[in-house]
Amino acid sequence: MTALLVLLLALIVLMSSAALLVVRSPMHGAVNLGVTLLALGILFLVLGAPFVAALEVVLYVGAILVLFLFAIMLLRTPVQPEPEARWRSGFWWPVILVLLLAAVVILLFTRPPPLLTVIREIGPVIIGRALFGPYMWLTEAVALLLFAVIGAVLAVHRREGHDA
Amino acid sequence: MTLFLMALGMLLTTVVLLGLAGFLVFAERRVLGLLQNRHGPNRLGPFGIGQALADALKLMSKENFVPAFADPVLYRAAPVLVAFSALASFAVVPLDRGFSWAGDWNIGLLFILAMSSLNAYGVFLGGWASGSKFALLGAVRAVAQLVSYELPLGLALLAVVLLSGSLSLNGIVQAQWMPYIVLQPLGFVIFLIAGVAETHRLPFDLPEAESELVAGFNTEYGGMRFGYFFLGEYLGLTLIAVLAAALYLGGWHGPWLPGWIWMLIKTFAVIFIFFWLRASLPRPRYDQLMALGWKILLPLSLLNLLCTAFAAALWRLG
Repeated sequence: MTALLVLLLALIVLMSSAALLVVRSPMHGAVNLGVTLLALGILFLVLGAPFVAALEVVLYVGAILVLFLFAIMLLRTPVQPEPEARWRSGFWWPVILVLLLAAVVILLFTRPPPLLTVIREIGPVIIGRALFGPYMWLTEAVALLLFAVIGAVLAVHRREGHDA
Repeated sequence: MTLFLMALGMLLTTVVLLGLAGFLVFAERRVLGLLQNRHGPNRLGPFGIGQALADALKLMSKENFVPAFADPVLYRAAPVLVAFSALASFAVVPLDRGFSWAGDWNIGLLFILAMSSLNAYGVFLGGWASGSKFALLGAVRAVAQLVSYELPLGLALLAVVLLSGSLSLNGIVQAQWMPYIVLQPLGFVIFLIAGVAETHRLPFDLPEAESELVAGFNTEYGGMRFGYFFLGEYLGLTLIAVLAAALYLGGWHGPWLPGWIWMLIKTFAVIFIFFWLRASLPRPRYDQLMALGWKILLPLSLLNLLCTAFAAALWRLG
């Protein structure tokens, strides 16, 4: 059951990320990216990492993709009916690649490596203990980096003389 | 057999929630009537309660058509996304002790935040795919508003998580030996304001401000597709109210009455506040909305979190 789900999700990820490369409209690309990220999130969930799955959706879909959307909208791309034929003709190559990769994945998962039998759920508590235990200084360093980014933005704004 | 029962239960839950959303539309009109000293819909059935059914029938019997200038796939997908994300969030909401689908899930609160960001996508894609200026402007406003108010909302929730030491809604309710509204008055107010903005209800309904944008992101929608947006909005409102009841008002805890009745009373009390706000407050300008979110609510919620963390550390040491 789990193996089937993983395969299906992998297929969705591959298809939508391949479609991301060939669709014409940037908005459709963004939607495909969103589907990819969602499927990745569910994949994390199935593989026993609910916290990472939730963060994947909250951060990547909920924040980063929104930035893409804003960029696309500022480019003022109008909605236009697409020429269907080109889309179909351009879609065959990724399909073949996806089939190949799917075959690889199937081979990977049907061979003995007991990957799926040892799934152990890593909940938020374990991640928190790790982040603020052995990796505390690294976490703080990343936080400092974020602070530096804010400072940099502020400094640039000051120099241009239109700080709010 | 178990699978079949589960499917049946989920169907039942969905039907109940849809019925609740329909009832809320009617209840809102009656409450608004009460507050504005007029009657509201009172013709169909006792107290006019059949109005909800009539509205639903009207929406369902209308034609579902896609405008020629719209993006057909996304135009069809967006309303479903809105309704789905609102419905899915209810899976982690506990109605009573041990009475929920996934109330014990250890990322319950994060799941709700994730679903609310999906909800933003539904609104945005609907507005963009409509291919008209009003809808696009509404969608831009909706996304900016949702992103801006998700931060204070999340930070207010973080303080609750810090106090209870759990991300699951069951765990948070169980940890409340006294309602967290007493320990987190500021957090509760921030949560409520950000919640109103997240569901783009009045007074923060700028994405669909009818005096400027016709109907905003759902201008081009009609029939049941519009109905989905409507459902999403009222389910989102119910979700924020249920969350306020579970996270700040003590959930199912309460004397004498059974737990689920307490939960319902608290939820409907918060929903009533939402209706009341709608009747009392005018809509702000868009820049005022943004300024409130970034310059007031965000620093306040950070301060709230800092104070909570400090107090929790002191309490643990002492």
